[in-house]
Amino acid sequence: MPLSKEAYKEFEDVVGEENICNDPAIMPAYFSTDFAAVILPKDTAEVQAVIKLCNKHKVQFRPICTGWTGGFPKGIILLDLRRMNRIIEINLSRHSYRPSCSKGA
Amino acid sequence: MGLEQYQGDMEMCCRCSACKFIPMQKVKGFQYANVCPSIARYNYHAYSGGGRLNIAVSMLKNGFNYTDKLLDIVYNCQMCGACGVSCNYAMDMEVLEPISEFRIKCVEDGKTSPTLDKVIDGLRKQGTMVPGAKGKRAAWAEGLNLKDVTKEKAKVYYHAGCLTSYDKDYQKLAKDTVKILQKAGVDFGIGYENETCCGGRAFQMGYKEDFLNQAKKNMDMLKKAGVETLVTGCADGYQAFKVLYDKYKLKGNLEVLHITEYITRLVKEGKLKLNKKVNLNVTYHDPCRLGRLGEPWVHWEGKKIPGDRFVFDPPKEYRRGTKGIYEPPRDVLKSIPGVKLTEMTRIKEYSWCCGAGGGVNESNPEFAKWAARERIEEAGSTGAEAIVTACPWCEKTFNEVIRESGSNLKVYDIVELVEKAI
Repeated sequence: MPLSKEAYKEFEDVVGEENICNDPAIMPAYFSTDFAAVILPKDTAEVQAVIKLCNKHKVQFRPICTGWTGGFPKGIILLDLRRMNRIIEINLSRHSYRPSCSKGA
Repeated sequence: MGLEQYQGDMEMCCRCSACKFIPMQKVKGFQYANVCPSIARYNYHAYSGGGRLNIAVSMLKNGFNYTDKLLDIVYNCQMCGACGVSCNYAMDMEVLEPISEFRIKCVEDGKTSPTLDKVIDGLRKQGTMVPGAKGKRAAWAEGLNLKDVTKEKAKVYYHAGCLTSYDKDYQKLAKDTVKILQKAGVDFGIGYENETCCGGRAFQMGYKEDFLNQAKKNMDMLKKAGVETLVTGCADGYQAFKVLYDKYKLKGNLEVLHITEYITRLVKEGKLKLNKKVNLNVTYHDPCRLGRLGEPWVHWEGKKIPGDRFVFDPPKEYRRGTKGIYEPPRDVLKSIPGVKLTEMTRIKEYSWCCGAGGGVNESNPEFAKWAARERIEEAGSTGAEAIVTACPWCEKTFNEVIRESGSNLKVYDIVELVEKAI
């Protein structure tokens, strides 16, 4: 289901005009033609704000990273986490790192 | 034929996003891991190599519904081929070819960019891709008494190219090249007003018919003149003559050499000595169409056997960008006394595009400059005093960005340094 103008504006206010798009031309790239919108959050705070708005407007969402598999239900919001490309922490003793699109980042 | 022939390749895209980055096995750091300017600038998957393939497949299946956004996606791509090279590190599928066919389809359907139409109008009227070009094409050669290959026999032909011929700031490159060839005693000629655009940039923009017209004009002139070797300093021209003309079976036996390949040959043969010192710390920018896209065309004919994956009989050899012209320019730089070469992070087949290709310089100059700024920043991070390239279009884009940014980095074409060294 498409987002109302008002709802779209609320999402746009969170991520900025450049980072939300509901133009049908971009959707086949994600193997779907039926997203409510594709949103590119830049950090955890924006993800939280977007999900709160999804709950408010009763819209499903699915996050994807740069590579992904599978299909998507119709009418969802696609959260493309591509812009969350920072490394939050490198832990040399544990030989691990925490990317910004990880849980709890 | 056309886009349809690549449907199988396009459906093989597994959405891994390898087309966006330097392959994991080759990447040298986080800061310069991106390889595709389009996805790096616009972020939506539609602006990546894979995204464009997915869109094209959808259009083949569901019909072509052209919108402004779709054309924005199609034309905001430098056609630099980095997506295909990164993909082909692990995959056997065509990436740039279908993207190019997608553009050709847009042009055939009349869905073009008005700015690019104007550039092509100039090509049709004046035989050049330099918008607003004035004066004679060979004005740079006045007073040099060079042979005209249409009147006198010469085995070697120097093709100056559009920008070098018409842009006064870059005519020096043609004059420097002439000095180098004369110093080495090469018997060469030029085409004067019979030289015309190679058509390569028109092809990148999707105007295939205009490209073919230019290719036929050029090859008619070169065949009549009995030219055996064509030398050019323009990377776009090099790729057009060597790769695209061959793809469309128009090249014949013409030997096509970039000026850096020819200088390397002349130095090895002892005909050219680079003995004057040029004290300069430089870094080298691989132009896309001399590097990864300068790889020879591989003709393949045979059967495509469908299955989980397409199988080709006989096996198809994929162009992976590794056979481009990488060593000759580096050899030339290393043979100039006093020149110290420091490499950037993204080099050779993983070079970052200068931003000017594919018509982006004309249709979206801000995006072209955005890409060039990133390259200038990368070049500056090496500590080099100058970025050296081997294509006038790259040099022009870099110069524009440096002028605006106030960077201290100098920009040279490789022939300018060779001219100083002879």
